[in-house]
Amino acid sequence: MLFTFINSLTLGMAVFLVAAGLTLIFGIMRILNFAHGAFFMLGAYLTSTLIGDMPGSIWVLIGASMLSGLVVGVLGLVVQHFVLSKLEDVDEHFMLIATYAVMLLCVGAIKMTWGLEFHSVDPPPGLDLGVVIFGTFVPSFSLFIIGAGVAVFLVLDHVIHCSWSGKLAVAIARDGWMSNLMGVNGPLGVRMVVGASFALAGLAGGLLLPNQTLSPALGDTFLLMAFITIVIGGLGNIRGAFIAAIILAVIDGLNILFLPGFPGVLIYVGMVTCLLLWPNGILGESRL
Amino acid sequence: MSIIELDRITKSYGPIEVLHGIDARVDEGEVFAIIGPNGAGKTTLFKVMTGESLANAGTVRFDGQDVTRMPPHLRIRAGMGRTFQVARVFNPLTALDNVVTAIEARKRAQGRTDHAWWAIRPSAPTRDEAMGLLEGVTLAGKAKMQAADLSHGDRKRLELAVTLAGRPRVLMMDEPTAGMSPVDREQVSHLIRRVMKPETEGGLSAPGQKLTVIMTEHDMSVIFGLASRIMVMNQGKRIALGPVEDIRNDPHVREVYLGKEDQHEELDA
Amino acid sequence: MSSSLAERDSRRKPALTRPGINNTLIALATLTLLAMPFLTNSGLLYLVGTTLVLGVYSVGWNLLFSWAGLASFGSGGLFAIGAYVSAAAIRAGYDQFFLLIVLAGAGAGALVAMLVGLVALRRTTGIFFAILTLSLSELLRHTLMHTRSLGSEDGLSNITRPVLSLGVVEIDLTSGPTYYWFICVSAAVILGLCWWLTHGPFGRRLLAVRHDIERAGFIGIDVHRSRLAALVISGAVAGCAGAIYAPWAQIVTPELSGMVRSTQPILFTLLGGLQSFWGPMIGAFVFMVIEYATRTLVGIQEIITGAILLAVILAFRAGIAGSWNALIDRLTERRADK
Ligand SMILES: Nc1ncnc2c1ncn2[C@@H]1O[C@H](COP(=O)(O)OP(=O)(O)OP(=O)(O)O)[C@@H](O)[C@H]1O
Ligand SMILES: [Mg+2]
Repeated sequence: MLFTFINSLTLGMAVFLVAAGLTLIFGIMRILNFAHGAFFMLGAYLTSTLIGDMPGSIWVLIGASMLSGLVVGVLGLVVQHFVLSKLEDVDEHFMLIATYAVMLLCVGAIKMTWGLEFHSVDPPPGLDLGVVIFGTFVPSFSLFIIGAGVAVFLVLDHVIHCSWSGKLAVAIARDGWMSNLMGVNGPLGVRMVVGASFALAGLAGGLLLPNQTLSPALGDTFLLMAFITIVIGGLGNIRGAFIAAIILAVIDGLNILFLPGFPGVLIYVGMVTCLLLWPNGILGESRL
Repeated sequence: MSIIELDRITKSYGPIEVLHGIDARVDEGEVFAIIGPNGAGKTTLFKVMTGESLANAGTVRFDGQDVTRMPPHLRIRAGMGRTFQVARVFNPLTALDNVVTAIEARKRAQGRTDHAWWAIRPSAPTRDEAMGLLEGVTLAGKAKMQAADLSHGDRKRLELAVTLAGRPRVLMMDEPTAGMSPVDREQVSHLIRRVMKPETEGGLSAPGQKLTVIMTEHDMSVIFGLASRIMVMNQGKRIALGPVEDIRNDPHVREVYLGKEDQHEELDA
Repeated sequence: MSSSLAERDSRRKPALTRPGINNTLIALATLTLLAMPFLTNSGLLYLVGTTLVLGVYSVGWNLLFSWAGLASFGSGGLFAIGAYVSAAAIRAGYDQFFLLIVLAGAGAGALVAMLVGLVALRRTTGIFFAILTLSLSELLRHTLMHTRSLGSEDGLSNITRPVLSLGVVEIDLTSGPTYYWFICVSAAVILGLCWWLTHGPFGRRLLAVRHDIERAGFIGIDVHRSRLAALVISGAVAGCAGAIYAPWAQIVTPELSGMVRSTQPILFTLLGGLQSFWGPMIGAFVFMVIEYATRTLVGIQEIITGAILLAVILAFRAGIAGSWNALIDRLTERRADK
């Protein structure tokens, strides 16, 4: 049972890694980014190209992930410049569909570059074994992902709520007009956050690479779960997303224990219930 | 007989209370004006009366019936009509269809739909009534125009026609002349006077109907030209209520407006 | 300006009017579609028939979007419900009652849409409605994937095309072309119904609700009921389309409830033209051509689709139908000016 929950928690943190960037971009631009999953996948493919099938060590994996994150972040800036910034004043549905189009472009590019075959990558040495906790075998790669999720959460939470740039971003998200008036460069702040959001997608892709089967359909699965996470947690709310990811993990664990015939079903039930009970998410919608 | 009775209406936005127990009675057939400085709570009171937002405490009675918790569309069906500070009409429809839709909604609510079930076009009586209303607000020539393409003033008049199409017994107008030139203001005042008069005398009211008007307004000349009674609000409280002359001479009211010289003069005018 | 337009109109009606031109085009398109079995091979015919079904389904989605202002991301679920109802009933041997089966599919779609609407429309709007519908259709997909009696992940296959029995006559729909004509006739009926609904009093009411829901309440429209009605109708169309689709494809899988199917109507509508009745149908056929032309190129298909969508959104938001109408208006006006 503990094993089940560790597994589910791993999934939960993996989803949080994807959801973090998603909720960030919602917080500042009020958009639901359909392209996020595709850029997550791009991060994974880039990392796999960088490190091959067998990463040399844990640091190689982390380094390569960060590099991919950087590349994807730059791509995000391109998308922001040519697409998103042009659609700020029109009906929100256009924005939604525009991100869907960007997703198609990205998936198409991935298919052209890497083909349709499935790749898989092993965990680096040091993460390929496991440890025994309370008599239960726990893969160390699971611990790595859980650790990465918590670390990303702590860093983001700190940046958003304590640092200068975070406060700047929050100010813009709250009231773009006001921050312009105060001489704060709004577009620069928005660009910063959008870049960070995409970079997070790429980073998550790299970190989650080992033990995944890499195929062009990978993005969809994670995207949907991440959507659910940020909706349950409250759109744009990073703490909400973290809590929601844990709740999802628990629900998923229960699903495996009590409803093994229908994997993944309880999550949707839970999400619909949450939405009806708290239409604005558990912690409420937040402008970052 | 009072058509609208407000009984100790309290309304808060979050922790801040913006209406502190307002009492008022509006008589059938009068023009009842609500005035007060910015932020006095006039629009909020309007919203509570029409159901746009709900009071925290107190009751709203319409024609003797408690409507405090009734949703807007039912209040409209019961005989209220409302225009907005910034005119709101249906952009995707033509001017004519705007009015037609309102008439059809009224007939549906009364169970008197008169077009054949398969018909796409509005029935002849509906069409005629709609054209009549558009003529009344001098928009007949633009009936086929998309509402989105109408000018600011035309939209305001169209909104009035749409609202009248519901045959309201009480017409509520939030700042009907806001942002208008003096000429346009005069025209709107004139229109409101016509709305009050029955059709037989060249007005717009359906025969046998006794229309009541409740309005908020910043322009004192419009108020003094139209209103029979005035309620003055300040900081969420009613500070005076009475016939126009009494209000003009009320020392308390003068005090509230004292800071604003121009308005003070208007009171004297 | 309007009076001068009116004058011009009364003075001399231009020989070619926009409705005239467009109706001619629709008639031509209808004839071409009816003649399709003589013009193409069975592979292409299958593609055209599928597109027709998806076009109808998208028109139903657009009824909800462009008229009631609700963007559903879960219409694929309703399509899947209709398809599974039809597939299961045919496999159970009821195929001579196929017309009833199609109605049952529509009814199932309508019923589910109503249940969703009763809960969702009271509390959630906009993005939440989008996500809620998306998750519900995913829930359905996962459930179908693990329900053994409905074929789990493989779905239901070997669905035979029915022989209709209408009391005295029997109509054999087992061959490709006859079933194709059956699709044409049903499409005409459904589209006719939708056209009628959207252009009458109900359509006017919905447009009012879409543009300003609060104001609509203030002319006495029961906005909740109007939106619910639109949702139910769009659900019925989706279910119906699904029920017709099942014997045409002869296989149904849980993927029908997936995100791809659910987002299809959005793409079709956007490309074809928002706020246009025929927009989704036009979009469906244009997409069909693009997909067919790029079918062998791995990855190119997504890139072309994505690029077209982006171009539409960034450059001509009125879509094909809107741009076409604007063009015709400009041309006819110029003629009238001379
Ligand atoms: N949605 C809201 N949330 C919070 N406070 C509000 C809201 N609407 C109004 N208020 C506050 O309630 C008070 C009364 O506002 P209201 O709009 O009713 O005033 P008003 O008399 O109509 O003013 P004006 O003459 O400017 O139209 C104001 O202090 C305003 O700031
Ligand atoms: Mg006001």
